[in-house]
Order: sequence, then structure tokens, then C-alpha cells
Amino acid sequence: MSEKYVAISWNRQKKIYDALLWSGVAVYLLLFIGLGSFLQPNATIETLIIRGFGTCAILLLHIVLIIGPLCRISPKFLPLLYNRRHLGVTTFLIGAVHAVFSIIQFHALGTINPIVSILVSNTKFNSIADFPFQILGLIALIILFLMAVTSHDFWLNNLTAPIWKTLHTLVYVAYALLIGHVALGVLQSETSPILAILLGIGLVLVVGLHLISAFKETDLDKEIVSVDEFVEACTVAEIPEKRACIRTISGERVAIFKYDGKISAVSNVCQHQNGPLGEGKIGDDGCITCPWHGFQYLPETGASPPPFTEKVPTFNVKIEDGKVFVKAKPNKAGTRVEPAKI
Amino acid sequence: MIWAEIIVYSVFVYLAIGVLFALWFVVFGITKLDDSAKGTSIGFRFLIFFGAIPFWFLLAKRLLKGEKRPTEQNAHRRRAEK
Ligand code: HEM
Ligand code: FES
Repeated sequence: MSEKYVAISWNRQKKIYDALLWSGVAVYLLLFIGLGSFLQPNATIETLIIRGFGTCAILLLHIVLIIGPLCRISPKFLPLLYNRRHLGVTTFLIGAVHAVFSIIQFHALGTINPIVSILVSNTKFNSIADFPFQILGLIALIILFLMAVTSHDFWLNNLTAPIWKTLHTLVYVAYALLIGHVALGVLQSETSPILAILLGIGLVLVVGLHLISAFKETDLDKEIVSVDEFVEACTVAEIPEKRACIRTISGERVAIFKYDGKISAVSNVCQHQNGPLGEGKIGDDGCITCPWHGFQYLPETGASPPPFTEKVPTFNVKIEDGKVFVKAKPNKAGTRVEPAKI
Repeated sequence: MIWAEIIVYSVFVYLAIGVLFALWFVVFGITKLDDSAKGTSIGFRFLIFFGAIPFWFLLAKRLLKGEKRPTEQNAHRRRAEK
């Protein structure tokens, strides 16, 4: 957590994640280039590298984009989210190899600067069949670059959250640009329609999963309002042991935890990257562990155990007739609250 | 053609300044901005180097204003402060 930064805080789970990721990438590239040189003996190795790395990058980008909604639909997918930033950085690196080879192949031989060449060698902006699709790829690559270089927690803290969030929302702009890049690029080369069909399936999957998860979340976000100081949130019985029930109170989600015969409520929003604390568990150490990257908080205080310094707001709670009532006004982050006894 | 050259070369100049700034920043400036960066490894600073190139302007602005890392706000934190 935020005691002192490290380059990458490796653990077993991350090592397995990266090993699978990189071997998957290696197998894909070897198969693509190996099979390609059999099936298309006329294609040069440069062309195969350009196509192999390009398709690999767009495939990875699809995985990056569907992990978020998948986790909201079912917590079973949370392990995928755990190290998503390495997936993002890998997507950029693979996309960059594709771009560098394309630039060498198509833009490095002339007298003008290769990047200038991408922008000026084709200016048929009003043509669909001959659209300068490489400019779309260039802008998308710049976005992926900016996201990759700011994926360390240091940047979330020091770029300030609004800028960091805007930047990372641009991934959808990059995705749209790349759909254009690939679709228009395929129109111009004589590759088979398979890629275009796969791209269409991918697009339906990405948009569909986002819609489903957004729909699922609307219920959770219905705010409970009440004229009383305390609002009725849920019943004791409906909260699973060592887990939470999530309700929206005072404009944001609250996580109401049940553990060892007690009830405590904290703001649902993890101080790290706004992960959903209410989807985490209380472990043997008595801490709530955020399901996204493992930051921990004590349910009674909303504070991370020392030496860590993260804190989230807490809520006063009381139980009447097996129902949990939560005080609408949150306490300052890290304020100790006596848990309600069941 | 001339517009493309102006854009591309301006970006190159901006990034060249960024490289110089980033070298200074990861060695010295970073600890002035964020206490958690004190005593951190070369590996960490190497990773930050690349981000400091495009974002040098923002980092320089925050350093000049003497700003420290902020805590993100949300509805609960704002209401709790009232
Ligand atoms: C400066 C940036 C870029 C340039 C100059 C560029 C250039 C090209 C070129 C020339 C092609 C046609 C290749 C061919 O059909 O032989 C192509 C296709 C493609 N590009 Fe890019 N690209 C860039 C960025 C990207 C990025 C960032 C991605 C993905 C993340 C990407 C994904 C693809 C894909 C999937 C194809 C289709 C491959 C195929 O034709 O089989 N490109 N690009
Ligand atoms: S959001 Fe990263 S640990 Fe909670």
C-alpha cells in the first residue's frame, strides 16, 4: 500500500498472471507467423510480423475492455482484474512493435520524417476505401502509450484523480479509433474477411457486456432516502457472514459488514482506485480486503492497519428487530465507530 | 505538409524538454512531490521516468505551486467534512 513505492509489488498471483499472459502472447505470435508463412508463402516476414503483432494487440485490448464489466457481472472474474495494468502495458508494447514495423516498412525510406509521413502520405479523408487509416492507429497508439506510462500508482496519486481518470477513460476512444484503423485498413489490403467478422463479434461482445453490467448496477445505485437521521438499509439475515451488503446512502455506496456477531458500515469506495470494498471479505486478521488490489481496512475504524495510512469514512449503525439502520451522515474518514451487536 | 511538420516537430521539442526534466525529476524532484517516493529503488524511478516525459509540464506546475499529493474526494468524504 502507500507506505513506500516499489517498482512492481510482485506476489505469486501476479507472477502466475504475467507468466500466463506472456506465454499466451508468445504462442499466439509463433502460431500466427508460423502458420502464416505456410498458408501465405508470398507474404514477407515483415508483413507477417506487422499483422501478427497488430492482431495480437487488438485481441489483448478486447480482453482489457471486457474484464471490467465481467467482474461486475460475476466476482468469479476478479482474478483477471487483479493485474489488469500489466495486460494494458503489454497491449501497448505489442501494438508499438506493430507500429514500428509498419513505419519502417511504409514510411522510413523517404526523405521526410516518418511520423510526418504517416500524416501526409495519404490525405484522402473523404474516401472510405482509401481512408488514411494509419493516422487512426497513430492516435490510438499515443493514447495507449500515455495510459501505459501512467499505470503505476504514483501517477494516480500525483496526476490527481480527475486527470488520471480522464486519461484512462480515453481507452474507449482508442478502441473506437482502432476499430476504424483495422476495418478501413482491411478494406485496403486483400486479407480475407475473417478479421472483419471477428472484429464485429468483438465489438458486439464489448458493447453488450458493458450494457449488461450497467443494467445490473442500476438497482444498487437507487438511493435510500429518509427523513430520519438513520435510514433502514437491510436485514441482518441477508448479510452473509464476513461479507457485506451494499446500499446507496448519501450519494454513494455504503458497505455494511457482518462479522463475529457485529455489524459495521464503511464507505464502499477504496482509497486506492475506488474499488468496491463491499465486494471484499473480512479475513482472519479482521480486516476488510479490497477485491481489486488487496488494500485493507478495519471495519470499526475504516482505517488501514499501521504502517499504512489509507482511511475511508465510517457510518454509525444500529439494529432494531433484525433490521440494520445506518446513519445517513458519514463520519470523517478513519473515525472509530462502535459496531452494533447482533 | 507544413502543418504536419509544425505539429510533429513541436511535439518533439516538448518531449525533448520532457526527457531532460524527467531525468532531473526521478533523481531529485520526485521526493519533493510525494513523501512515499523517499528512498525508493532505481527500478521504481525507471518506470516513473517514462511517464514524466509526456507529463513534465503538469509535474513542474505542481512542484512550483508546492502541491502535495491530494486525497480523492467523493460524496461521502465531502459530507463527512461538513
Ligand atoms: C503508428 C501507429 C500504427 C501504424 C503506422 C499502423 C499501420 C498499419 C498498417 C500499415 C496496417 C496494414 C497491414 C497489412 O495489412 O499488411 C495495419 C493493420 C492493422 N493494425 Fe495497425 N498501425 C498502427 C497502430 C496500431 C495499433 C496501436 C493497433 C492495435 C492495438 C493496430 C492494429 C492493427 C490491426 C489489428 C491490423 C490488421 C492486421 C491485418 O491486416 O491483418 N495498429 N496497421
Ligand atoms: S482499488 Fe485498489 S485495492 Fe482497492
